Formats: sequence, structure tokens, C-alpha cells
Amino acid sequence: MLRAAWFIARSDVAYLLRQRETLLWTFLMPPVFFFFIGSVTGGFAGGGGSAPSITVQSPEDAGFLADHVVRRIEEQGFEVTRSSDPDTLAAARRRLILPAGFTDSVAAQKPVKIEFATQSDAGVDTQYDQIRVARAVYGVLADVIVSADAEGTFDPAAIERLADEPRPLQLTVSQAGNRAEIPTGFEQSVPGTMVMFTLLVMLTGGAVLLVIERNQGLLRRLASSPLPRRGVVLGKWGGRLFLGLVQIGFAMLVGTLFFKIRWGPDLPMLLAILLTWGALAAALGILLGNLARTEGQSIGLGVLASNVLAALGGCWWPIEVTPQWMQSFALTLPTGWTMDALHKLVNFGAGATSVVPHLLALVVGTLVLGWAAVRTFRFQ
Amino acid sequence: MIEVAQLRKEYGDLVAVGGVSFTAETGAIFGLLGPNGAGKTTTIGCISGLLEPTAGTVRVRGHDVVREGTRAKASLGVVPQEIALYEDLSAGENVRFWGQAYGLGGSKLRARMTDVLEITGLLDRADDRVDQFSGGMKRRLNFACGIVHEPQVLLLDEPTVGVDPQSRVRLLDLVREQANQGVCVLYTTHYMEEAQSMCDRLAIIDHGHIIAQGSLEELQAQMGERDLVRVSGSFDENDLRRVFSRDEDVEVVTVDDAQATLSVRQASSKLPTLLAALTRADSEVRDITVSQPSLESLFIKLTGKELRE
Repeated sequence: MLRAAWFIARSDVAYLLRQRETLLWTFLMPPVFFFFIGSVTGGFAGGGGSAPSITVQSPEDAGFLADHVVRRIEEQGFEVTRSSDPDTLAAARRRLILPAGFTDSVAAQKPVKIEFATQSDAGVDTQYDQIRVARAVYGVLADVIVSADAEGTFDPAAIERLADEPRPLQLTVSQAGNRAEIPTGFEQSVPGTMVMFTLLVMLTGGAVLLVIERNQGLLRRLASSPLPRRGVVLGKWGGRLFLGLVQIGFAMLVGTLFFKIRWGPDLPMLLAILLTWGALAAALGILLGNLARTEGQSIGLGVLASNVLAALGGCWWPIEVTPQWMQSFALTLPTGWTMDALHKLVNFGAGATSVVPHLLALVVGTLVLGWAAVRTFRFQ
Repeated sequence: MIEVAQLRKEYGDLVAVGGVSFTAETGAIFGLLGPNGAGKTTTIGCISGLLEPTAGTVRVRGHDVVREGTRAKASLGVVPQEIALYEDLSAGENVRFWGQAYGLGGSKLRARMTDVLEITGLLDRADDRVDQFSGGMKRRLNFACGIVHEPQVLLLDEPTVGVDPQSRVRLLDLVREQANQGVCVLYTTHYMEEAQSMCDRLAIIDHGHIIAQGSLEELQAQMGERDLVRVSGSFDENDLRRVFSRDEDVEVVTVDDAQATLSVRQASSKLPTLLAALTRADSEVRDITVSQPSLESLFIKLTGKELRE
């Protein structure tokens, strides 16, 4: 049986890899989607590769100390834009408002109020932003106190000198593991597109070939050959699995080389997740090929199913930015299991054991769909 | 050799094949003749192991196709009715695929690929994609894929459907050649002429039952010396049957308002008598055709209907 399966799998892979559609959707379109979706979703949740932005409203009479606040904020990793336009300020993801006469008020030892606001009020990212802004403001306060203490007063030159001096005491803060920052940009688009396109190719190309073979009598002819039928079915599944793995491998390579994706410390578990995902998608492709009567049906159903599963499972956008009910629903779908596991392993540094339930769900899903595919397989 | 005994295949209430029995010998062509839907393809499906019989047995070279499927299939070559080829592969790649499916490999496979492409006249087109081929070329390639592994039993299911005359002659020659080489050939067709010219023995099948079988001579003998006379016009069935009821030389095979079919001994010499009798039966005759005894006339005599495509 295994010899028959190997022969069929080999033949199917060779056949599918000669199809223009397969080459297009396996090798060409995924990188395009990596770039396109990654660029579009780069701003989700304020994450991504570029520095977080902050808009500062600094009145004209705010004085030189306002410039120093900006400098300290930039040192915290923010990209600062100054604006007084109310619309721009209202639309800003983060905004910092300095009061009029800021420097003079500080010099006169009057209390001043600096207002910091973000568009989202909760979450780890917002808290992290608040901490960094607070550090910047406390830094300015410390500079003022030290300068006044040393020189009796503070002026731009004194503050500048102080800022340029090396700090005798430095506090270095590093992350204990990855922050649970929602993946955006390429961190989202590369795994999301990879998962979606694997499913798309299985549900279209993989299913269509089966329909063509059945409608043209090729499967009937195969059933009349000495090849064991179970071997033929196993080969059909194995060929599609291999193609899926080729697709995943290519996507990972392109993601690593061109989009600087780091796949996390648990590569064996990541590969196990992707292997079972490929196996499940291959079984689903066979099942669709069994149920469809025409090429049009299989393509239509394949495109529809893969897009719906991709969208609801978090392939198009990080599922973490959607409402809680949608996040819960995603975990009922195989795309959701896969994407959640990838986020945990790649972005959240959650460790291999955290995705064992995902792996088990994918294995069980593969077995159930594989059983259904075998039961419904038709040679004519 | 193929031995089919009381083969029956049912789909729910539908009986596709109802108790078919025949034996196809080595080195001969056994024809299964019948109209579309008669049960020929179902019978081939059961013999090739594609369908599991509801009852009865099929043995290929002594191996039961149900219990010893792999052994039975290993000696079978199947040329299906449809063009079962990968259209976007080349002719050579198709032959290679089916050769490998039957266990061929290496130099043996290469040699057989060359052989079958050569005898089917496709060697110079071996690298061309099948979707660029004509219908006749595809039929020949379909045949080549069925014999690449040198089967000892060859099942041909209407292999000449939709083929141009030139390709048909070539295909029929190839089939005859296989039989001459000692292959047991089972050939289904609904073309009377093909069956008459090709087959050493024949079974006529209709509605899933074999209604006659034997050599061509044996089957024609069942018609006796009688010709088939088809008369067009207008008829009253009762009057017609009454007029010919006492005439031993004339048998009414079928009759309806517009056409009557008669089985008549030495019809050409009895035409004036026939016309007079038809007039007595108040029939209006517009056209009359006399056919010599043939498989077709036998089929009409046995089933009361013509064998059409």
C-alpha cells in the first residue's frame, strides 16, 4: 500500500507543481500578500517594526523646557510630532499636551499639569506607554532639580550640558521574555498569509485535480489497476500534504530572508504545528474534492471556505484586535488554532507547552477530516 | 481467460446487470454487443474490479476479482470508454504514468513506452501535450496506455466511439493484433459492423440480460433464412397480425401505427404476396425495406427494437 501511496503522491506533486495556478498561488502571490497586508496592517495596536508615534502640543510660550521634554520622550523610543491642530491631536494615537508658559511656571516653582492621553485606555501596551512618558517627564524634573541645585538656576545651556553628561547611575530594563504585544505588520501578515494560502491551494488546486480525475475517468482507471485503493487515497492525501509543506517552507524562507521574521525559540513545536496544519488542510482538500461535482463547484467552495476560515481564524488581521466573542469563536476553527499557536510561539514567547492543546486539536481535526475524506472518497 | 457466472449488479431497485454468464477465451475477441444502457459498461466495471458484483462471480485467468483483486487486476488491461488521460501531460508522460501504475519501471518501461507509442502511430508526438491531439489520436493513446504493461486480458469498452474512420481502422487492427498475440480480448460495442467484423464470439446484451450468444455463424443461424422487412405507412395491429397469422413464412416482429417489422423467409420473392396481404389488412404502405439476415436483424427479432447509438 505504501508503494502505491508513494507513487500516487509523487505523481500528484509533480502534476500540481506544473500547473500555473499552483505556482502562482504557492510561490508568487504569498510574498505579494506578505508585503501588501503587512504594510497595511503595520499600525494595528501601535506595534510593528517602526517606533510608536506621539503627538505633542507645545504652545509657543512653553519655553525651552518643552524641547527638553520632547528630547526625553524621544529617548524613550517614541517618534515625536509637534502639532497644535485640534483635529490632528484628536486623531493621534498618543498625545501629550504641555501647558502654556510651561518653562516659566517650572522656574517659578508653580505646579504644572502635563496631559498624556491615548486612544485605547486599557491593555499592556497603554500601560507601557504611560510608564515611558512618565519616565521622560520625571527625567526632565530630575534635570531641573540637579541643574538648579548645582548652578542655582537652570537655563537651556545648563540643561543641555546635564543632558549630555554620562549618567553615573543607569537603570537598564530588559524584557523577561517577549511582551504580549499584538503582532502587526509582517509579524502578522507572513504567518497569516502562509496559513491562508496553504488552505487556499489545498481547497482549490488539490480539490480540482481530484474532480478532474474523477470526471475524466482517471480515478476509475486507477481503481482498475492493481494499486490498492487505500494506497491511492493515502497517496492523494500525502501528495497534497507534501505540496502544503513545500508552500509553508517557502513562505518561512521568504519571511525570514525578506521580511526579517524570527520564528521564536520553539522551532520544533512551531514545525509540528505547521505540519499538522498542512495535514489538516490536505484532508480538507480531499474532502472538498469528494463533495464537489464540477471544477467550478470545487473552486467556488474552496475560495469561499478558505477566505471565511482565514478571516474568522485571524489570518487577515490579528485576532487580538477583534472583540472577545470573535476571539473565542476563532478558537473553534482550525485556522484559529493554528494562528493562536503561531502568535504564542513566535510573538508572545509563551513556550512549547502552551500550544500543546492547539497541536492536539489539529491532530484530532486531521484525523476526523481524514476519516471523512476516506469515507466519502469516490473513484467514479 | 475471463469467466463470468451469473453476474448481477443492482443499484437499489435498479438492476443494471441481471445474471450474465459468458466465457471469453485466450487469443480470441469476445464481443459484448448492445445498445447504450444495456449493461455493457457495468459488466466491464465488475470484471475490472471497479464495481463489486451484487451476486455472481468473475474470474480473470482463474483469479476471482473480488477475493484476489490485485492478482486478477495485474493481468488486466483496461481501455475505458472515456478518454482517461491527463490532458496537460504529454503522450509519453501519460504512457509512463499508466505503466508505472501497473508496476513497470526502468528500461522495461522505456522500451514498452517506445513500443506502444510506435504501434499506435504516436511516437513522433510523444512529447506533445494530449490537449493538442485530435479525438482519434487521443483514442489511440488511450489504447496505448491500456496495453503498455502487456496485459494478458484486455477489456475494451467502446474504444472507437467518436473516432474518425482512419483512426477506427487503425484501432481495430491493433485490437486484432492483440488477440493474435494470444491476449484474451473483451470488446464492447454498439456498432453492429464492428462486432460482426471483429469478434470471434459474441453476446448480445439488453436490459442487463444476455439474450443470445455464440459465434457469428451461430447467431446468424438463429435468424434462419429469414430477411427483415421494415414497412412504413399506417397500420392496424390486429388486422395485420390476423392476416399473417396463418402464414408460416411471415412473422410480425413489431407493429405500431406508423411502422411494421416483419421477419420473412425469402422476402425478395415474396414481396408481391406481402403487399397484397398488407392491402387486405387495410394498411397504407409508403416505404418498404428488405434487410439480409444480420446481427441487427437478430437484435430486432429478439428485442423488438433497433440497436441505435
